[in-house]
Amino acid sequence: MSTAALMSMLLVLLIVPGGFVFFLLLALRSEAKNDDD
Amino acid sequence: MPRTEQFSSRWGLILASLGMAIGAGNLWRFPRLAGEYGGSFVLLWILFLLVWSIPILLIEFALGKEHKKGVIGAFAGALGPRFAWVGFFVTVCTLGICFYYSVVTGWGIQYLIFSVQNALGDGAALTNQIAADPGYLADRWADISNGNGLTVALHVAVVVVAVAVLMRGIQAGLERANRVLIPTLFILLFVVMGVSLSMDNGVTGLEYLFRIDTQHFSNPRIWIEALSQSAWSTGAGWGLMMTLSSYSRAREDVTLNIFVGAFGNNTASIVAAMAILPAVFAMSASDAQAVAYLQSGNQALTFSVIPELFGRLPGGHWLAVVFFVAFVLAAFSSLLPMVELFICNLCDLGVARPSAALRAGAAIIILGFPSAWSLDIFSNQDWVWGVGLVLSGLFFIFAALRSGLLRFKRRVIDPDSDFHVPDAYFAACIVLNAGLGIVLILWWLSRGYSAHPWFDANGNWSVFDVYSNASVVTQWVIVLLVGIALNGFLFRRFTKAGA
Repeated sequence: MSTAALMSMLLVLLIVPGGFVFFLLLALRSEAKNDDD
Repeated sequence: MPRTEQFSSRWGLILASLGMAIGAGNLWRFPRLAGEYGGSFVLLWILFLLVWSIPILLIEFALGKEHKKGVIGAFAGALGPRFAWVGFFVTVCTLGICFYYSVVTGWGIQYLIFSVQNALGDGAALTNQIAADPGYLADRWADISNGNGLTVALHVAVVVVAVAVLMRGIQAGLERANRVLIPTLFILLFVVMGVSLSMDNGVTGLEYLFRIDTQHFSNPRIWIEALSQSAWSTGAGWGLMMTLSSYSRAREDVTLNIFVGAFGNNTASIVAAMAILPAVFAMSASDAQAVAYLQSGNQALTFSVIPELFGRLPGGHWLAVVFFVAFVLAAFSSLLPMVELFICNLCDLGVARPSAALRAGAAIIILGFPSAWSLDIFSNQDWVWGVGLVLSGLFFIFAALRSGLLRFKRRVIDPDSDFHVPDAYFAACIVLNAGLGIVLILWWLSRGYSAHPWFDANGNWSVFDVYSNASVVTQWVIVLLVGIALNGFLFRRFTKAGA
């Protein structure tokens, strides 16, 4: 696998699954706010 | 009647959003396009997630949450008495897809059964069969997709199961089903990905998937394909997120939930591509043949290429079983909110849920029968309502603009959201999308899939041609005219009945 393709893969994985995990954790953390309603 | 049902938690809503968005397209369309265009396509697809899909999904979620009604009622409430027909078009457009989506799920089940039979029998049987008759799988697909009684029976069975799930309600039905479907789906995709990546030459697939060729950026087709894939895959403009959010809790977050669902959908697509492309490249005789396989189309890739390629691998029949279980789960999890959209509208008319579910199921069985019986009708409906979704997306943009874009954002989207998207980003995307949507519709209509896009060889309106523009425009205009004719009735029934 070329270095360019590898870097591109890491970038995509960082943005997409990384973003998903980040937003998911954020959402679960703030769930308590709604539970209090 | 006023909404009495709601999701039990944010997690339930997020799983339902993921189930809605992750469908057959993640497994059969995204890997095909990503393999064909590589990293250039993937980057544009991420760009359009941010520019097209997320802003429109924010509008959808906000309208559903604010009005607590199905698509017709929410549009009628948001746009006023002159525009109830807008919600009618969006509803019919998504139901047009729903009517054949159960057929896709049924196809997946047939291939799952076929894979199990291969796995339990002599592992070399399929490979030998293909060696003796190279057209074996293509013939099998032709048989399944046209005039096949089992396909019709599975279409009916899938709708019956969906109705049985949704009849139980939002928490006990939709939410509980997605608690099983979505985690299982992700696990299965990771299993296929792990096996594919461990194959010799599997890494070549990753090279094709992620290599950025800057020359591609000057090709308008890749921009259009990336935009279309993001719009269709995330469910932006379908009215499904609007339906789900109508069951959201009073102070449910809008922005964060949309970001989780949208990025989760794209994650499933990336994992699917990293599962399928390495396998295709590893098992193909050459890279050129692998690329040719990827260009063979969604259905050919899934139902002919994958069974053949997986069959060549020792133990590959079981991998095919895992893949088709994932395919069926993805398709079914997307079918559920489409059926719910139908039920939700009927409930807004005052029909009790069990009765609404039965009526919706009966209608889907009857109206989906032509697509189950004929691949031409299936393809026509896929084409007409697939492009129609872009028009639906424009209607959501219209609703936000008419409500005063930033006033709408500050009143409905921002208050309960843990973080706010910048006003400038939201406004710029919505205005840009109004233009992009029109370009997209004109582009697809200019693609010339049909030899007679408007008039046939005899000069007649080419309405019965599968991919003709005449067929698209005729069906859209009929739905729009019916919606406009019923506008007063729709507004009264869908706003007053629930008042």
